[in-house]
Amino acid sequence: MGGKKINLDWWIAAANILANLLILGIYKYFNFFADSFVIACEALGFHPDHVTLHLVLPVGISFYTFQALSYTIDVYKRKIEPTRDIVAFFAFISFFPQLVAGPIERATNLLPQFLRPRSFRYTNTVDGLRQILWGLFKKMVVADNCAPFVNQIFENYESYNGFTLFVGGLLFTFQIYGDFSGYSDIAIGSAKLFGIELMRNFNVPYFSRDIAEFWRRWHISLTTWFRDYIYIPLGGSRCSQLKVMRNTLIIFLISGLWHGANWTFIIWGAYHALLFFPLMLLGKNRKHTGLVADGRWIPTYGEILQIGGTFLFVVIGWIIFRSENIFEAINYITRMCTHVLIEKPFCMHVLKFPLLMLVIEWVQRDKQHALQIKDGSWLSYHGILRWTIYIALFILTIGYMGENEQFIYFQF
Amino acid sequence: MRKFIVKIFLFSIIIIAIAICLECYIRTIPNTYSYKHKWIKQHKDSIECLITGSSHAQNGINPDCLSLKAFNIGMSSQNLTYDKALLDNYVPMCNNLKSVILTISYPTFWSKELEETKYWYYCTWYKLYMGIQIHPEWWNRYSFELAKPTFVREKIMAYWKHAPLNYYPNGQGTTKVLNQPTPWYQWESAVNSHTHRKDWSMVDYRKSQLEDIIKLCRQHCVKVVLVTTPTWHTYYDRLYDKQLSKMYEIIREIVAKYPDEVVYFDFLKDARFKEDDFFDCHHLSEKGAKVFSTILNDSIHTKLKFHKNCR
Repeated sequence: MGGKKINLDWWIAAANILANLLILGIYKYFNFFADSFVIACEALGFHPDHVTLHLVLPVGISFYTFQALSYTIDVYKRKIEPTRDIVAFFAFISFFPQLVAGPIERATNLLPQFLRPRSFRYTNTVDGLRQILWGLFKKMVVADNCAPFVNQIFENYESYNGFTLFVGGLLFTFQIYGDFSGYSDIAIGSAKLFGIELMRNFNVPYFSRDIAEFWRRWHISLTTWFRDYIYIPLGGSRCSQLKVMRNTLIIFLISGLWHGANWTFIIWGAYHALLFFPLMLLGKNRKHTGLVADGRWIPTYGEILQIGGTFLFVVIGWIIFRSENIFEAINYITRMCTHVLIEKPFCMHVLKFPLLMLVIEWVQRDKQHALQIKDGSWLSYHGILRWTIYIALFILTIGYMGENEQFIYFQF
Repeated sequence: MRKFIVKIFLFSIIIIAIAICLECYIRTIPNTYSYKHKWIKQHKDSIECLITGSSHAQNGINPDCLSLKAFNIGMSSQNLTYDKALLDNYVPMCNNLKSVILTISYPTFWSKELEETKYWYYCTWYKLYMGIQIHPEWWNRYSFELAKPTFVREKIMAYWKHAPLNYYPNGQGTTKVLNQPTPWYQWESAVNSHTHRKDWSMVDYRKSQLEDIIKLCRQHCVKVVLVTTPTWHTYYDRLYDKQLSKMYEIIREIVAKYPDEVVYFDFLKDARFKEDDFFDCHHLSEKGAKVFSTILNDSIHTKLKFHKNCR
């Protein structure tokens, strides 16, 4: 009887997972795989009929599908009891602050919060508003000001010299961070207004000292999801070296594919896997787990080199990510390296916003977000100064906001 | 909860107070629109010729080169809706007005309403500084400069830095404050943004607006001079034939319908203009504007007798 029940649970969970992945697959990947299949056949001399679907991609499908999958798997693994409260369940799946672009929440964290009574908490609410303000600054000032120049450079990359192309890659690096982490901050801050605690999604990733640390700080909700639901079930790091590498490669490729139906995303994932392998093989992928320059204002020369080197690798990865196709990515990077001319690009002035963001985030790198003010800190005793900062940041955001651009991660 | 509500209220009050102060301050900063409106009101009894149209008029026609006492009320992205609104205000006001020079360009009859474009905030300036009441309600975005906060910031910064004005005392726009001429690949984008292959929904409406302008001028015994300003070959070589033909067809119809009120001069592909007469592929430089305005004045003089040199 017990054995039958386990089998039934397995079948239900499997059917549920398959249904979710099927929906995601059809909406997001059908045309990509169909096109790739046709191209491959044509390369072999066959000419199959080309079938494509004209479906509008539902906003946020990648996010809430994974969130639903986490519920199914956690229930199957007995990590959480299945809920009978349909309202709480749908609130968990479709909680508006994080519905369209995450963070991808776990049922073990979010669902119980809907089931227990909540009351207004002043400190949480104020902290939420601060986080929203910081998120708005990153999105409206940093990301939206970089966007037009990024678009112009990437659409006309053949007209620019190498230095300008590098600055274009740099601007996109800041654009995607400002856009995505800004959205996450707004989502987390908004949730706090309702007494809901969402998980942190970004932890100052551009101060990472190696690629492994970068992936522990970038899109944390997604990377931990892959770790817990794919990497560990495949054996994780508790198997042979070859299998560990295989598992790592699978995770990075799926991570790339998750972002969209384009070979550039897959190549981007593979690129990061290649950067990760040396660290893993040398056993140094968990070398940097603490705070960079802990207790110091300035990092050491070694740390500066590590941060700079990691950042450079990340920028190249983002160039691949942003390109329309892999040929464009190759041409862009080739031109960036071969047409080097040190003249001031037309878009240098835009870098002041990301620099300001980086400085503030560096100073506050030990906090959950850049505007977090801990009780007992000197700023917590200076209300007028705090309010001046809030008002100044608010006016700065309104006065320097770029042209309204859609959130990049909405397309995923 | 009460503490939170009080603080939110206080924060909002501070932000609103700052916004009100900024709004009041920015309205005191001199700008093209307020200057032109003030100038016309001061010279309404002496002005003889009004030049209106888009940036092609603003930058391309130098009033000082015309025989009549002229003033340029052309503005960047100004369409026939605002040409008509301005003339509705100024033609009745100017007792001595003899002619109106109105530029008709390749995109004129296809241009969208300003409110639907990324330059929608220009409508605010027409309303606040020139009294154009196309949007009379106070609660819309055209009633406040702060509806476009980034431009408020740019305006204030330019004022504090004593940036040069973008207009001359005669109303002509100056290209001195503009960036370097646009790079080669944006010449094509200028044509693309002006070309309309599919959406011709505005054509009849724009034609009717032009006729309304002519009727208004006729009512006040003012002649209408329609002119297409010169462009460089990289622009006119790329124009969509059907759109250009339709533009000429409309102008021919208008001139035929109002032979006593309207004259038309076409300088689109005029070979007399050299490369340095242009700022970019479809705007004249200040040198080119002088040359063009002199030629235009002579051309008008052959057709409209009162444009003889009578000063």
